[in-house]
Amino acid sequence: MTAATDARLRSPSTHHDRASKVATALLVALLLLLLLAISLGKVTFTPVEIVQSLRDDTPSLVRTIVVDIRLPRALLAALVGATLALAGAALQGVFRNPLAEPGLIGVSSCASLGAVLAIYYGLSQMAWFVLPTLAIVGALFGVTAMLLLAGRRAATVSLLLAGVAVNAFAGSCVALALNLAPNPYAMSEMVYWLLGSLANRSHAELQLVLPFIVVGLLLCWRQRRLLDALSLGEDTAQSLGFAVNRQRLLLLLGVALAVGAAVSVSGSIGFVGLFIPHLLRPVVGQQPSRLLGLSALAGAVFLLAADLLVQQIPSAQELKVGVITALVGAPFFLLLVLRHRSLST
Amino acid sequence: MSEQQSSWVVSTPPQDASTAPLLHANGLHAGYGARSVLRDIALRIAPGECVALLGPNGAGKSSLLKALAGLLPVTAGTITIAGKNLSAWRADALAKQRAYLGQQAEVHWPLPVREVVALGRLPYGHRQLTPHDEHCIDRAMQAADVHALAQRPVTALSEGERARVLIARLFATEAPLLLADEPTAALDLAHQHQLMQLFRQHCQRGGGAVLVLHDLNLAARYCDRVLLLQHGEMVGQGSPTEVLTAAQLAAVYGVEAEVLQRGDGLQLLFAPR
Repeated sequence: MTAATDARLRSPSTHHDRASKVATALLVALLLLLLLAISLGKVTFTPVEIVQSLRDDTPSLVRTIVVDIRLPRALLAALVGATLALAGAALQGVFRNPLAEPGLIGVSSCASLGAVLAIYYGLSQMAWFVLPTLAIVGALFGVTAMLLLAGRRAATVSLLLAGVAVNAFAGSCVALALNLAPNPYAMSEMVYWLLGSLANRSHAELQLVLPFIVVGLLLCWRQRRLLDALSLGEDTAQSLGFAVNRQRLLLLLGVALAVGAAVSVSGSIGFVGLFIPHLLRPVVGQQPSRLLGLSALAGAVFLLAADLLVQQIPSAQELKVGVITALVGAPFFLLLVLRHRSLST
Repeated sequence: MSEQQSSWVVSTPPQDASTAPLLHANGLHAGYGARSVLRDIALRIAPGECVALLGPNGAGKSSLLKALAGLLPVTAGTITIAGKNLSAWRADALAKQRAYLGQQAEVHWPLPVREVVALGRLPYGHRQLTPHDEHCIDRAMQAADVHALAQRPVTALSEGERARVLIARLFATEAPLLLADEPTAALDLAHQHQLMQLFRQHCQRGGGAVLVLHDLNLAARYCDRVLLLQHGEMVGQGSPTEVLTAAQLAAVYGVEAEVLQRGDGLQLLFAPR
């Protein structure tokens, strides 16, 4: 066998090369976007101004705006984007279906329900962890409902139908909760949860959800090889040494933790978990485990960019970032459904 | 091509295991919930033995194979693998000792063929494939004749090609004990015989194999022993000559069979009753 054919046969390494190139590009983009995010706004600062204000120990307007207002929002956007995209990739691996996504299958809306209950019934004031915890409980409910309704390897139709049912149920519960809520502003603020936004988020919110998201994403990350094994079915995965049921539960718990926490500060931002993994799948040679990290990176870049965009669009009231992701994501979703249909007939 | 490349080198079993059977099941009962699908099965696989599980549809062949692989709860009886109780094995160690190929061979993503075969190395838990991993993968792909398909997406292959990819995955695991459910079902005639020879070579090198087969002639020709199942019970076990008699086949399969003794084994001719 010649060296050339040998290299061709071993070409998964070219996938590795390609994936690491894409990862580097995404990392650079993320850093640039973070820089942009702390510079741009109603007042634009040059990098020199920012560095100067950070050097001075004295509090300044520039420093307040950059550190206390723009930075937490930018970091949250990146964190939430990473969470949603990684959760999408993980769910797709578990259900072995490219249409599984936290928003579509109702995990996000169940988390919204938990968050809405916490906020509008004053429970979130009882202790700092009540808001993310209730959202996480909601997300867990959504994941469990999905497992029960759609089954462990969800066919597209049952996955989507179960998603419609869970979304409708959670949505109507949110509406009911808001109708009964004592707070007169409830209805208008409900928009946050239904459309998703990162406006006016502070360090407090960042610190609130960071631990949950980190633990959740780590839980998912640790089970990544299970996703590879599951591509051969549950029995084979089991025979390859995986404790399929236990590991799957851990992974879904991780998804619920991360998505629940993310939704509790951002509301439900849809479709990020759908199209980011889908676009990256060819880059990683279709391997589910290697999709996780790259999806997280791309999700962070995408949501940060989208959040920057909504701040730049001149409008009476700032656009919700969830609107942008839905505008990009919904046509993409339709395209995927169409392709899926043509494949299965 | 050197002898090394073309044939199977099974990892040498541990010293104490060389005397222990690769697999020993005794008084085995198993089932799904309350429904018992296997009753009182006994089976022993010594190194070097290739055994076929035979029987009509619904006889419990696949269930028995799953039970032996540890995928189906055993309600009574014992299974030991390489001298150690099945439940005492650590999952990752067990995965290196026995490999299982299920009946509904499915691959859920359009993974390149080589990546699918590489999944057979998962039990070794390497972050990156080691040179030995690569070697096992290449050798398994050559043996299963899927080498030329290495970069093709597995979902774009024909059923028979996909079956061979999954067979390569099975062999890439390098487990001494191979359990395969109808591995020949989707293969053409030439590949069926090639595959059975692969299993034979595997056994000659000290491994063992339990194969669910539908083709009695393949079983008679390549297997040391056959285990005949009916309604979840063992109705015969022994050499093909002992078990595959015209009377037995009529009783179990409901077919009229003519059993011919040939120089190199049995040949069975069938006619519907």
